[in-house]
Amino acid sequence: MNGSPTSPVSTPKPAPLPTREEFVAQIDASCRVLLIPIVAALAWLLISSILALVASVKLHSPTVLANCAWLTYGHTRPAANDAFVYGFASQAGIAIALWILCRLGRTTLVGAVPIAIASLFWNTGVKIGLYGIFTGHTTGFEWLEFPTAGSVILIASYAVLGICALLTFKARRHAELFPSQWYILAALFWFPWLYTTARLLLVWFPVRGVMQVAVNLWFANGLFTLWLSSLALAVLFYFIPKLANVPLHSRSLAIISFWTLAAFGCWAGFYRGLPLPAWMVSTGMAAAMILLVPLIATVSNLWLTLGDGNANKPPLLGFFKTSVVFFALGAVFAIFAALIPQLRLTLFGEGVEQLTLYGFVGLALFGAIHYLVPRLTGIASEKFIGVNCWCTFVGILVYAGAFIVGGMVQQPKLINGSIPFAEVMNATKPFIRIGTLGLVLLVIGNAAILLRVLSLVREWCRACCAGCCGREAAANLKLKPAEAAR
Amino acid sequence: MNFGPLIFLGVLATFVASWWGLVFAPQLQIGSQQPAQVDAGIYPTRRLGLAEQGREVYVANGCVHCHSQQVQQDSYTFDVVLLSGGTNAPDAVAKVIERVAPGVNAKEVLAKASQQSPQPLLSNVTQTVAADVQKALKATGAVAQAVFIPLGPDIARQWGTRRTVAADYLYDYPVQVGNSRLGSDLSNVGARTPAADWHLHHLYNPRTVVPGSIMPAYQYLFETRPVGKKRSPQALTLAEKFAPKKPGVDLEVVPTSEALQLVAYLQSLRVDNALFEAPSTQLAPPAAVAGTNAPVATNAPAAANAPK
Repeated sequence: MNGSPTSPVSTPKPAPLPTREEFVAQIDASCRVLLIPIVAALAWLLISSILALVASVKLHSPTVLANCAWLTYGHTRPAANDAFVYGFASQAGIAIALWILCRLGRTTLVGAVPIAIASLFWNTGVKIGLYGIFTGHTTGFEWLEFPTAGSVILIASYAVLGICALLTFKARRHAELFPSQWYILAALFWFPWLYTTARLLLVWFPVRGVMQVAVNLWFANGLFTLWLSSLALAVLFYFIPKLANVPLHSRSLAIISFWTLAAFGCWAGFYRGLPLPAWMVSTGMAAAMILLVPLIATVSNLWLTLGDGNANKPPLLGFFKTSVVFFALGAVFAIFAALIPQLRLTLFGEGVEQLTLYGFVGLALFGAIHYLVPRLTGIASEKFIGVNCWCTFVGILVYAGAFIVGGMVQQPKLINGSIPFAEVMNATKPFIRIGTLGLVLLVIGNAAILLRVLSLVREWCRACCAGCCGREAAANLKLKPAEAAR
Repeated sequence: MNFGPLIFLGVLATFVASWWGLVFAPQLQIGSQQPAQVDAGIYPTRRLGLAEQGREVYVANGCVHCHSQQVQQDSYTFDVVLLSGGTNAPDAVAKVIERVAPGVNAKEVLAKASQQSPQPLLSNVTQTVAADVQKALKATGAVAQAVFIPLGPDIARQWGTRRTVAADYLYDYPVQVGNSRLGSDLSNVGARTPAADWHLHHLYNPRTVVPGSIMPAYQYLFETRPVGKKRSPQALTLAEKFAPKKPGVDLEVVPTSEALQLVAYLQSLRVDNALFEAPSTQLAPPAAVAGTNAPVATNAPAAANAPK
């Protein structure tokens, strides 16, 4: 029953069967086009962290770059967030999801050319959207700041990527579905539904008054719990059993966690004190609590899978393990943010968001990229993995940790009306300074993963050129098929 | 779980359910809310002119990333004030007052009430107690009023006189409720700090008026130029420390139209009226303003709005 991704292929064709290694290499070769979105995503990741660093510096040294309208805090903060979500996480997530669909479905990628073109357009959309934010053409809604021009391009290119993903899914030769595929299939639909519904109701045919707040928070929560989390969980459900070299501990637990997440994931996101009808806030808080069910089911399932594995575990597993831990922390903190008065409005809220974005989604995608790129390029190199791993890990701990602790210090002051607001504000300063240090580490870590991928791609191009031109073959650099298939 | 269409249908159903519950249902409930008739006229009204243009400047500069526009309220309490001692014998009224409000010098209060009302009787009581006192005094011919007092840190900081409710945002687009309080809440900033000059200096460099502020300086909303024949009347008066310097040239800092629009918008932000669903008092509690005779008219609607 336990559908392990490593179970042998049974192709019904009578033709001479390719060996398993050859077949896997064939699949990976068909996915080479995914290097375009992966490299672009990592470039956006670096840009996002640099923008976040600028924003963070401005919070404790407000006179820095004060004359530059483009780089005011109100522009850099949303630009950093959107570059991360749309530039990096969504793009890299889709690319990795496509590869997972190919590997689990035992099929080659469908629509390499449309995917390449759509990726280019997707990046154009992100560029236009960020330009809009910098020049003050934001829509004013959190996570939906991109002006219409940018968002329409995003939707159009997503349609192409999504259809290619569905066709790849349809072309699968292995009927049994693995949990990763459930999450990917669901996410492929959730994102366009969420995004277009929110754009329609907020920008194109706006609802009135606080209904905008309701739709915006509904979208923001869906973007995190349904879209980004599903992509990251698909990665975790794929890589943890694979790298631990054991089947998933329990398929039933996975079913429970998937359906409870689907059923309640989109109901959270409202917090105490919002000027919304009281029942909506209560619903949001209740849903945040219920989300403990998929959280516990997922974390215990993955953790038990790790326990089932043999002692000899590849180092890349560390990324996924840490990601699981941050997933759990982020979800528990999100409950506090919804329940404790005004906590969501302090640094805590942003700290939890960044913990989820970098710690959970980011680390899962980093691990996948580190695994994926050597197999797509056929080049083996361990360069920069350590730098990326440690800088990101320590960076998140420092950055998100400082903001979360800072929020806990700020909250009791904020809810004590006799304390002047200036004092509340001053209390945040040391934590923002520490957060800046964490962001410096994240920038270094992000640069490291970009450099690693770029150097692998460069080596591959060289080896490829050498092969084409008949000069010295760089065969010694190439990964052996048996190694690649691991 | 091996059948794609089944997963698709399940995912569609759960998504539609959440849309139905959190978007469609509230849309039915509050989506077509209309402005209310309050004592001062219709509330809310659309922003006009500079203030409306200023809203765009506010959105474009991403002010929402630090400043919320939502006033939260923890609880409420009641004060009881004496509006009039009535025409009955003061001794009889005083006796009742002493019974219902121990610790109050009844005679003095009654004497004062004939000149200045309201006079505070009780503070921080429950709605039932307030209603009982009102009833007891009514029997003697005196008139007492229960005053609704919202409580909470936001209200203590004068970020609003009451919590904000759906009606406050009817004409805002995009609604800038905000999820961060790195800066102060701006729901009521127009009532709290009405001076345009203060806002202009604060925008040019927040440290000029709020030492230690972490708010960015919005100097690009101002024009720094050499003084012409005469200093512009709009020029900011900046302390030596903050004034722009260029050797040999006398510089002045003049707000651009964007800065003026933004200030007009900030001045238009106020949550200081009472609504049926969100009653309020004036900013200062009645005890503190007992020295003036203004609050009678202003307290009355608030109390009338209090849940009965």
